[in-house]
Amino acid sequence: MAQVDTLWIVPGGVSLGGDTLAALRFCSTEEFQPSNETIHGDWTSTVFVNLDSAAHSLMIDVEDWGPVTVLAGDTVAVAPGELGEATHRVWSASQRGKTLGLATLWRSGYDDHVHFEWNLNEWDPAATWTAASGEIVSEDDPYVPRQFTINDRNYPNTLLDSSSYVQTSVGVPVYISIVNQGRMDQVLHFHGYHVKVLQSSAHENRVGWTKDTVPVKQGECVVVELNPNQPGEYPVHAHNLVAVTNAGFYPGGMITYLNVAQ
Amino acid sequence: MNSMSDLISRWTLALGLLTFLGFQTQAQMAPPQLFSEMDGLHFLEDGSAVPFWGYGWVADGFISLPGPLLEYAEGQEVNLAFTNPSPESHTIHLHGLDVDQANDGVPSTSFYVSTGESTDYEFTATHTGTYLYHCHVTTTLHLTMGMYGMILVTRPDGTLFEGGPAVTQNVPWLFSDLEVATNLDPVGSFPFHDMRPDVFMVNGKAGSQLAEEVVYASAEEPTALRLGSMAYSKITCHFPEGLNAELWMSDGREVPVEVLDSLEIYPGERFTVLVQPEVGYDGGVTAAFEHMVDGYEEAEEFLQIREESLHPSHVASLDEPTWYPNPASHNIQVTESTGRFVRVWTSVGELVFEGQVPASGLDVVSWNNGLYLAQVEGRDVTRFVVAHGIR
Repeated sequence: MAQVDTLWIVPGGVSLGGDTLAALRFCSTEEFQPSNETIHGDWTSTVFVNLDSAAHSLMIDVEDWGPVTVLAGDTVAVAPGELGEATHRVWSASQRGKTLGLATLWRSGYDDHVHFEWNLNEWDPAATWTAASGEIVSEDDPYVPRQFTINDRNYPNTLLDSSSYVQTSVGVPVYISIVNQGRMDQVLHFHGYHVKVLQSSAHENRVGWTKDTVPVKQGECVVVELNPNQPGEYPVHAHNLVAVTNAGFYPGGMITYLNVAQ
Repeated sequence: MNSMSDLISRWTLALGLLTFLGFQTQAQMAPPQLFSEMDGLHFLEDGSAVPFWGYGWVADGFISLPGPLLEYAEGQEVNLAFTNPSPESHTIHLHGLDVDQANDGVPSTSFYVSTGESTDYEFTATHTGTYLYHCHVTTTLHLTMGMYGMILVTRPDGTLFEGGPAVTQNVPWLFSDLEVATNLDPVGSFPFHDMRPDVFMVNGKAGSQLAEEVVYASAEEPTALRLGSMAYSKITCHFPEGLNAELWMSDGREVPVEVLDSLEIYPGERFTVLVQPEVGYDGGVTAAFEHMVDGYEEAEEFLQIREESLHPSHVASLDEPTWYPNPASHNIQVTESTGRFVRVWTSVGELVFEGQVPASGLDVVSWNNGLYLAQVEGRDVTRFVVAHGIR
């Protein structure tokens, strides 16, 4: 995805697996786009222009960094300073923003290989319309998400997204940043390969481990390195199997593929 | 919903097919062959039965929940033979073994094994460790119906990996769960996003069923707990201090050693934990099952571990009885039964023999084809198949 220095907060609607959802997205223009735009760079400043009808408290998971409020129709600049080599979560901490999926990642470094970026999320369509209407969605209500996404798309549309669908060759390593923006923990299983964990904000003891099944806790940022040793077309999918469905039907949800050429 | 009599009837009808498979294996002898079926009955803690789908050894003639433990040696060129007589297509996904695309068990990128077809999955067991296998056809359904098992890749010298510690034994603990309503009515189980398991198992057993599954562990050398999850739930294992639990491996790879008091296991993950209890230790591991969507703790299971000196010597000195030939057509013998009372039942619980087995063995010429359950006094229940027509 292109590096941007201004993001617009834009309301809209998306279709997912037979459902229509209300949505809020970080967009690279004033036009609504179905997937949140990601942010890249260290020591950079990003300007947020809020085109929504409500204020948002913008958060980034950097130590000692408090929320920045951007009022409806207003503009703020966010400059978290030195990020080093890391992937961070950026999200709206307001209940409306969380329910409508206003969340992305800010990646700094890891530039020496091709880098893929996966924002994981899950969706309760009825709750999105409740939130869009300005009503409160209580986190105490029963939560039964029915759509599960990588970069705001569910399978098979994940394969249309160049950041979800990993394409590389044998011996050509790639990085994958994975951020869980939802309310559930997720766990991803890589077919065909083990990956090396480079960053795990909720499992710091696992940095350096080599895994084929990688948990990504609620709010967690994980970076893995895939160095393919064999060619093939292999799935990567949530192994919490409710998350590989679209409105209850398999296959769907959080599934994408690794395409490794000889 | 199927009544119990319908289920038992289906099970009985399936015995003929299982017997046929047993006959096939008798003719083939080697290598061992897995098969899949969709007519198993799994007995819950309260004695009620739920249908399940699963894998079994053709030579045994029955499927089990979980499927058989598959064990290979490091570096072994594996040829896993699989036949599918069941009414639907299935596969075997070798979870974590990094096999080539053709052997990955994903229908869209590898192949289905349709009704009546057989195949071989070929791979090299390159890394020691704990792995899983499961059907990857309509995975949400076939997995929750029970089509999964564990794989161990070990070294002949008993070390975990080259240069690693030697262990006295490997203890597989496969965590899983099921939703009874889904297993009773799999066709009507959609949508799957509201899946809410209500039976929480370790090696297919729950609650009081686990009471007899005691692990006797040496205080002198470590025991390897091989932990893996095919559950919909998140599992958290709690290790009391007296067990001296250490984490050594995850997903078939060495990890920096950590002293453990608890360990989270997400669906599909595997861990190797070494325990070396203090002398006289009598306790165990508590495993909490937590719903992945709302975090609600659904159940706890207790897995008892005792230090080896507490092991009853009369149990330690016995081997399990073995029935042979199996399948049998005319006469069947059993080991370890001298002077002991023996009972044999059909698979639906009809007692067909009780008493001491004569030196000449049991005459089964007049017995119907099918699976039989047998218990030698003081020993676990074992099984054999009667299949007339074997030479």
